[in-house]
Amino acid sequence: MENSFPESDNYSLKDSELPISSNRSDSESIIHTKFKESDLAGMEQLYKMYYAVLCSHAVRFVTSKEVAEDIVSDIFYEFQTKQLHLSITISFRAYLFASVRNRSFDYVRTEIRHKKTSLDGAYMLASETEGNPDSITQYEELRHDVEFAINEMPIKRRQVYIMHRFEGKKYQDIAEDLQLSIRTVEAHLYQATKHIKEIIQKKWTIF
Amino acid sequence: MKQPPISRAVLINYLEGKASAFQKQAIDEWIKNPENSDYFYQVLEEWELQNLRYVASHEEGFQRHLARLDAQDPLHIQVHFSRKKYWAMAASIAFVVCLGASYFFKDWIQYKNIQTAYGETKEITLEDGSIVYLNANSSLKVPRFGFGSSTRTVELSGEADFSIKHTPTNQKFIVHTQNKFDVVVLGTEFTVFSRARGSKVVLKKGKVNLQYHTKTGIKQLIMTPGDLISLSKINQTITKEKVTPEDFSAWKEHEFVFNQLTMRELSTIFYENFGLTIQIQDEAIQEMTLSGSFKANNAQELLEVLTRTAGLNYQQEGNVIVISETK
Repeated sequence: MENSFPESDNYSLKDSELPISSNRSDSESIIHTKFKESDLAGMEQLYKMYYAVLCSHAVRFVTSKEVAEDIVSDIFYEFQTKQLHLSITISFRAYLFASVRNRSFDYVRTEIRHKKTSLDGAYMLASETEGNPDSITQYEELRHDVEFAINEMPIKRRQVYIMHRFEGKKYQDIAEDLQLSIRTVEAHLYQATKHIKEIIQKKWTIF
Repeated sequence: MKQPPISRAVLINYLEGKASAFQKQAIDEWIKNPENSDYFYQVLEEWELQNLRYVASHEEGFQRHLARLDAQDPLHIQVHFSRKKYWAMAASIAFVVCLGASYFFKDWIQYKNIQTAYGETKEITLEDGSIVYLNANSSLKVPRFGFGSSTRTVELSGEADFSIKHTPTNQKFIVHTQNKFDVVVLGTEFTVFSRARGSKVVLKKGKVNLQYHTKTGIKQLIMTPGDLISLSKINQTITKEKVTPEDFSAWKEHEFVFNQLTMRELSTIFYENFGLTIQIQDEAIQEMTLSGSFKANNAQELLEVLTRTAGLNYQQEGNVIVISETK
């Protein structure tokens, strides 16, 4: 890691890094222009620029493509209905990422309190949340714990889990791809879900 | 604090889970400054883009978004307002960046934009002799130059009734809409409705070629007289029925023809034509439907005649109309 980032011993932002940030803020001005055209044009631009990257980030917490997309879609929907482009003072990117992380965190928190083993179907509404974690490091730690729990599993189980939850593949297709019986796929998924939940529960139920 | 004391590399390390406890603490402090947090999310986005877990389709996401707006908010208040914002932008043109200004002027030089206010209708005779009646809260864009020679294309937002002259050279007349569909004709009479909640085309005479955009490309449809084609917001559902075409352009004569109209549809019509919001608390009234032909020159007259016929009461406060049972 250190080698690929030669400036890592320097704790200040270098000039050479600036083009990245100025490019990105330019792209946010496109969104502003589009919102002046119409709300839908603005929203379409937001979707183009941030939807995929946000879904990919959310899935690291919630380990389900469907749930991740629901969370991101909800935030975008509220963004339009509450006309947030008129009121937010931070960048679109900062607002959207912070919201997605917050809601993903809440999802996992609600999830581990649930008795049932399935991680599906427990997506709670924003009104049931209990406030943000005190620090961004908590988000990072939860995310790393989830990733650790996934990586710790035996390889076949991990494959099945990722194909089903992250790529949205059906049992039938996974069974064919990996040459397993559907029953085995189901068993892997059951064990995987249980395993991840246990690990996360152990550390995070204090909340 | 101009320069963040935490470098990109440290942040990347942090995202990879390799930061020390001391660094984590420092970042937690550092990020409390909004400028720094902006920078953090920039790096986070970059990092995520380089390590995508999977690629979600933003097109599908946006389609879902549209469908959801359609289902939960059929009036699309925000879309209606967008035109006004456009004009507000024109008013403050001095502040608009070069790009925006040149775009606007180009548009203004190329097209004549005819608009109607809430409750207003207009009759327009085009250079080729075709007649367009524009219903309330609608706009028609007509090219200033070359209309009738190189092109007969207009752009409609809202509702209009067309009576198109057939030219000796069989020149096509095209009605372009923002709902991703075009009506292509030679010489006919038809009504086009194209608003945020969807689109409708009704054919009175002649033949119409309807071209609409779908996910899988442009599709065509030939209409015959009496056909009503309805396209849902995202052109995913298309329905065809036989109707009395004149009912759909009755507004030209300040007449409203309703056939089993639900209260929900009525409130949509009031919003689109008069900019008024109808509120109905009583569930029994919400279930009612309206049928018949009503003559009215404005919103008040229409409300009067409707409520009188149905035995109801109404009260207006600003732009909100509350309909209730007669006491």
